[in-house]
Amino acid sequence: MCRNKAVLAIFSTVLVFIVSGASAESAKHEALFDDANSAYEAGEYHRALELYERITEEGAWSGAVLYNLGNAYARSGSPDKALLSYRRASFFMPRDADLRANRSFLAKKMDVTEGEWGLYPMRSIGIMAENVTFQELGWILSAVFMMLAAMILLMPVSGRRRFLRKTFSFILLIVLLAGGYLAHLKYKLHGQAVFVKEHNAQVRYAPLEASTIFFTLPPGEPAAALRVENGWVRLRDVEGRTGWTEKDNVMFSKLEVKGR
Amino acid sequence: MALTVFGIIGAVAADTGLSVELERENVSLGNPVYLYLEFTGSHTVTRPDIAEPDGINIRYVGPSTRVSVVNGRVSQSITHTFMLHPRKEGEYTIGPFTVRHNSRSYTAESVVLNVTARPARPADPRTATRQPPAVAPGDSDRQMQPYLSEDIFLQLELPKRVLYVNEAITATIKLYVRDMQLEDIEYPVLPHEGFSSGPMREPDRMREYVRGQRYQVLVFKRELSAMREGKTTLGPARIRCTMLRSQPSSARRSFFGRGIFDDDPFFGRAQQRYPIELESLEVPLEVLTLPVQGRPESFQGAVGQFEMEVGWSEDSVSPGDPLTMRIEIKGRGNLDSVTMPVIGDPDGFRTYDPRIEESGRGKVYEQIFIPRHADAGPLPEVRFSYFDPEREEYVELVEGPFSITIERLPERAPSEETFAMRERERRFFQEPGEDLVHIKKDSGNFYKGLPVPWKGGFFWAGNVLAVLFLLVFRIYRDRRRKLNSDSIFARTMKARKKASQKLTEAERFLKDRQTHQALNMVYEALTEYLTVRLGLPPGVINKEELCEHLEASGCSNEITGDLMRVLSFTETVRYASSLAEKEQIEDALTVARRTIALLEKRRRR
Repeated sequence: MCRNKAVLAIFSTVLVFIVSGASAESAKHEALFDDANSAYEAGEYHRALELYERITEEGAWSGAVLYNLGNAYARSGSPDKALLSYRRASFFMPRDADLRANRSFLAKKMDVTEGEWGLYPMRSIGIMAENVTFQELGWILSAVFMMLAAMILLMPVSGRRRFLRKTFSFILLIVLLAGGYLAHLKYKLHGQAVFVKEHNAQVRYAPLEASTIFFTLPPGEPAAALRVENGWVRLRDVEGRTGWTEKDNVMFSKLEVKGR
Repeated sequence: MALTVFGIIGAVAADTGLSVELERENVSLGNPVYLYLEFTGSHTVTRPDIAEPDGINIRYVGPSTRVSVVNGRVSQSITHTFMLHPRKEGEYTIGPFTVRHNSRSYTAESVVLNVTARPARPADPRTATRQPPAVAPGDSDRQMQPYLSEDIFLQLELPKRVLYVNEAITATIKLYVRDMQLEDIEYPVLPHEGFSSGPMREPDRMREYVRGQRYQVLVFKRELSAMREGKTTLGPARIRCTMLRSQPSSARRSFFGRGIFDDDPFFGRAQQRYPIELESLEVPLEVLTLPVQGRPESFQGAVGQFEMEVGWSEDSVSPGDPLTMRIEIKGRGNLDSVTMPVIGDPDGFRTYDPRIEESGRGKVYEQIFIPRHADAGPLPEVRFSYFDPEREEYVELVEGPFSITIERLPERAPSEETFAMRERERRFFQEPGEDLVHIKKDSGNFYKGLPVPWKGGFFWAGNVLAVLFLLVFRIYRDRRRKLNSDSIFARTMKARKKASQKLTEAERFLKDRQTHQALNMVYEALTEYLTVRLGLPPGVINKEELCEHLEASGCSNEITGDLMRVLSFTETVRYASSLAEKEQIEDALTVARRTIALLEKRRRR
């Protein structure tokens, strides 16, 4: 009995330590966030940029931080990076009206395509996937899976409701498979999405400087990186054209913590 | 009808002959010239072989035929067209020419062509196109459907036949019409492989006399520029339209062959509609590459005649303030070949990508310069080069360098980055009514990276646990249902539980040395369980019957024997009031447990 109490006490201590550590970390980021906001409102965009970036460099991401970072980039004359930040913010708050407005405003200003989902039917699927976060998608899929399991395990195997059970099970299975594919696609594209940097990116037929230029992409234009090798990226633009460009020409939208 | 046919044959036989026509007798080196061999009286004569003199290439272009009926007289002819391309200067005699028709030979005299040195420029721009031959405009029917020969034809004209890569020329397509009405005229189609082209302009209408005949002319124009050097052809141009022709009604025809209302536009003639397609000849061209000699370093491919104007927004600026240089290039030529002029290295200035606009016949480039400090040098010179195809030489236009005043700021200047930022912000957010939505005040939840639930074990464990819970619930529910609906199953389940309880009680009695009660419990547990489990009638157990059931349940003889022994022993002790040893009771308990466990195991199977 005494032994059990000792284990419980140690466990509680560790838990309290973790929770208090996490909240201390969070409080630090909150303070940085407030300082960055103050700098932004004072027109010191570079200072705001530094502070927002410090939060993300420490591996703390939130939709609001990335959104504000996008605003600071746009104000300081780097709309390409601003678009990248907005794109990253949409992983956390895809239905946020302010985010959508700013993203659309910048895309229109820069005359680039909004969204990197490319051609039909991917564009239609992309519009659906862009409106939910990964977490929401996960919970929706879990719920559908539970319903399917309940349908199979709990509904009667014979009698009048047998037909209903089969029909609903089939529908749920289709929804589950489609949702799973959508989640897979969303995650895959999240890893592939790139944005063209400050200057026009020349996309060539082969990963060689001497190769013929196939097409050029304007700053801020989204594309999907299919492969990276030897400092070159093979990408596909929204019109479905594929070619190679130097890695320095693009920015990856995947969230990465610097120094890790 | 028969008379008419004979008449035609007679008329055809009378006009047979071969004639030759050279497009022009003097030609400069490199310019092709057409040779027409016309055979009158038949349209089936094959082309003659022409000996190719040294210094001239001869290429057969193709035949064109003509059949016309004028006042009941039929005339038909075929014209074989050749293109002569001189390669050397000199005087060349081509021919004589001989063809055979109906076992007879027809000969035409030779022609002389004088080839002079370059520069080759056609004297009359229109000679670059095929002209209606000497006899009448109707002879231009080589370009049209035979029966329309005298009234309508299509002609493709180019201002020159030798041009340079990227040089802009205007192709003119003329539709000549006489004494007829047209409607539904479509824009002409002009195949132009190897050329870049602008849009077809709105057509103009004009009147033109060709060989003494007045024609209504519809003129279409289109800008073209050659993209690759070498010999090539342009066209043929094609146009579709509907021809309206008046025909006198036979019902109204008078005795003298002409109706009294024939000239009346309302009653006289019925309009017949004929959809037709006209085609011009191809025009041969030679596209020359731009010379290397004399090419300036600032040349970037512009061809034409251009002017450059340079201006700037401010004469005096402070460090960090933007200054816009406006460079306008205008003139005649291929505007697509005009690129940003070369601007020298700006000392002490920061620059950004220029803004480009097209205006009328020119292009405007706006280049922003931001002085980094008050000692920034003058604005650099601007160079623009083009190739003038008329003069056949490169021309370089140079403007600058330009001196501007950069005022010193009275107090510490903001950093260079701030200036650049201010300018970029100005460029982005200068339009009223457009701006970014403000920043967010609430930071929201912080995540360590992208929150993807299926990347963590909790997500999968939760799903698996939920399914396990459903499975357990299903088993529990099924069992409950069976217990409620299957009385034998319910009794069996209860019997095992009850027997187990009684045997536990028997153990307790034995511990308390209450052997009699312990034996009673063992006996009751066994008999009750066996009665329910084997379906025996309640009351005293018949041993023979019990043996049969146990064997049927798969119990071994040893177990059956042990069970019989225990039952006999318990019965004896219970009714004989004799004392039982503790070991015997323990043995009875063991046998009872073993038998029940065995029978339960069999039941589950």
